[in-house]
Amino acid sequence: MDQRQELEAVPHSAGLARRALGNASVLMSGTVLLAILIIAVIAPLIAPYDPYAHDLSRRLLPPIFYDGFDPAHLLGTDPFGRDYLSRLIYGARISLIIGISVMFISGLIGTTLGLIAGYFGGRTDQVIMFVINTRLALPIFLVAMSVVVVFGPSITGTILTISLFLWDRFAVVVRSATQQAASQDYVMAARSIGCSNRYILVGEIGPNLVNAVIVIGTIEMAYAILIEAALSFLGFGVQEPTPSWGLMLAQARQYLFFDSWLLYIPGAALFGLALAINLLGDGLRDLLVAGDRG
Amino acid sequence: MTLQRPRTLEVENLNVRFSRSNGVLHAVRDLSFHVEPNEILGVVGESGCGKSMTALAIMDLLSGRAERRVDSLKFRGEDIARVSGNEMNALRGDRMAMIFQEPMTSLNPVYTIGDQLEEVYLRHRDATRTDARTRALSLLDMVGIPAPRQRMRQYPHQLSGGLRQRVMIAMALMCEPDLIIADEPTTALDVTIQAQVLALLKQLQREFAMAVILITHDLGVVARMADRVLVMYAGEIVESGPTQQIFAGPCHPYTQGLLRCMPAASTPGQSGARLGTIPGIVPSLIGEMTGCAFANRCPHAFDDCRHGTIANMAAEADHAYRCLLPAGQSLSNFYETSK
Repeated sequence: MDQRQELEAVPHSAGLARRALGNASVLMSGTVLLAILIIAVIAPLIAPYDPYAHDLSRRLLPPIFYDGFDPAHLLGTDPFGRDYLSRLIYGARISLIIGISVMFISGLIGTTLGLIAGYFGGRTDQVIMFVINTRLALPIFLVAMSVVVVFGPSITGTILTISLFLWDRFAVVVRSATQQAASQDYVMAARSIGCSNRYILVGEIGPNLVNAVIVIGTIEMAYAILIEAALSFLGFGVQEPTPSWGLMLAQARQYLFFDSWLLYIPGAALFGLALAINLLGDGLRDLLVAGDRG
Repeated sequence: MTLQRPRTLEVENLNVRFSRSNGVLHAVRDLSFHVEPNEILGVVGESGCGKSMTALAIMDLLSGRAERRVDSLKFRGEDIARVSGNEMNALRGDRMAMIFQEPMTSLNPVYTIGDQLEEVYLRHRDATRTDARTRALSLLDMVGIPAPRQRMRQYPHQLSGGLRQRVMIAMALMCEPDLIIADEPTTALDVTIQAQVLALLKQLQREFAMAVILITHDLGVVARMADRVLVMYAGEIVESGPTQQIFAGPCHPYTQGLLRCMPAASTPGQSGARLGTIPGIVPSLIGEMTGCAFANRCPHAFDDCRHGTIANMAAEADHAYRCLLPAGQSLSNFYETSK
């Protein structure tokens, strides 16, 4: 019955899940990311205070690892007397909302353009490459600044601005992957059984690009979160009093020498989140590429 | 001749050109031929002689850079030279199908074998998934794949090259097409598998009573499989006729040269004889060509060969060749004496 066993091969997905659990960086980063995601989702349940509640009599309390901390505020309070832990927890929401929406919007734009450019080639490709180059020539912070000046600051505005800046890597990678896939015989075979261009793009080439898109997606998500923080830090992103890690960093700037924890707590959160996402992307790439070979 | 059944394919003056920076490349020049229902037409020639281009041109699958010009391209009596893309899509996979050279890359790695087979049927037939599955199973069985039920659930990378080529054949047969174009279907396979796949192809062709265009550079394959042969050189047909006649009495010097390049099972007294070669190289396909394309390699070429257009000569009914020499004249064994 040997042959029989060989024939009943393990399905693709089951093998992938098992290997994911065996991969240390995917396991670790996945856990961290999942934890942050859960914290963000149930923020109102676990945050000890309202992140917007001022109490000027209790301002600048130190966190738990300093002398004279207040057990009521584990991570201390900010210069307005707001609970730092609560703001940190709510800040995760902003970071994740922005990271995830940017990943989807820019992924959609970039993947579509890359697919079209890579598949049709020629004049179409030239036009899309021109658009990509134009985008690369635009400085993100100057544009973000103008958007804020014209439309005023908002989370939606920040998401759209960042999205319109982060699709280029999707487009370039998908374009070259599509070019590669389009020259494969199975695309010609699909045409020879009467498939339309649209079906070939979506049904034949598309699924072969999923791995690449997932990996780029994680990289761009981490990048989007960092850009949001930078924009908020400079005052062009999320505005007070919304809790955002970048904004917390901006406020902490003037207390750098005396209350440095104001700076490194949100900094560490930002670092941890970006690192986890990047590690996950890296691990996924290893897993998915290995899966291809399997 | 009775006209009950139209010819499966009738091609008149097919041209395939590529515009390049250094001129127009004529990949296929004024090709005219036909395929009868229920016959295997072998197309032979060396690499770059336009065999595959001809196949792609018939299926209208040429890349955007290629330009196809054809006076008439009749499929089952209907002209399909100028039909829309959608009408062509409806024909492809349904009435005409193709088998490719590389079974390793002709199947999409992300779908199971079953999905890919069913796709063809669902696309062209108003059928349910269950119907398509039943059809796919019976075809997998027919092309000799053991345990078809398990194979249906597998991905292409779990199959060997020979099995994949059988799957490709099954896929081509899903809708029982009138014409199958097999472009070097066995080139990428082991020799033992080659023989099996060819035998299968021939058996299925008889069973389904369909026309097959078999493109190959292997004369042995043609001799075994084809009813009629087209010999192509530099984008032109240099000789065409029934397989028996071509192999027994080749008229064009190029065909004669090709046949001498075939290693024969050593006949007594001849063992150790040198294998024939055709000296020289294929002419450039860029620009217009005057005279015979083979003139610069032909041992019998004379001045007239290099000018004007070379007309087709009939050696026998249905056996034509493009050469100025009368049939039988050029059998002077030039290639063998030039040791």
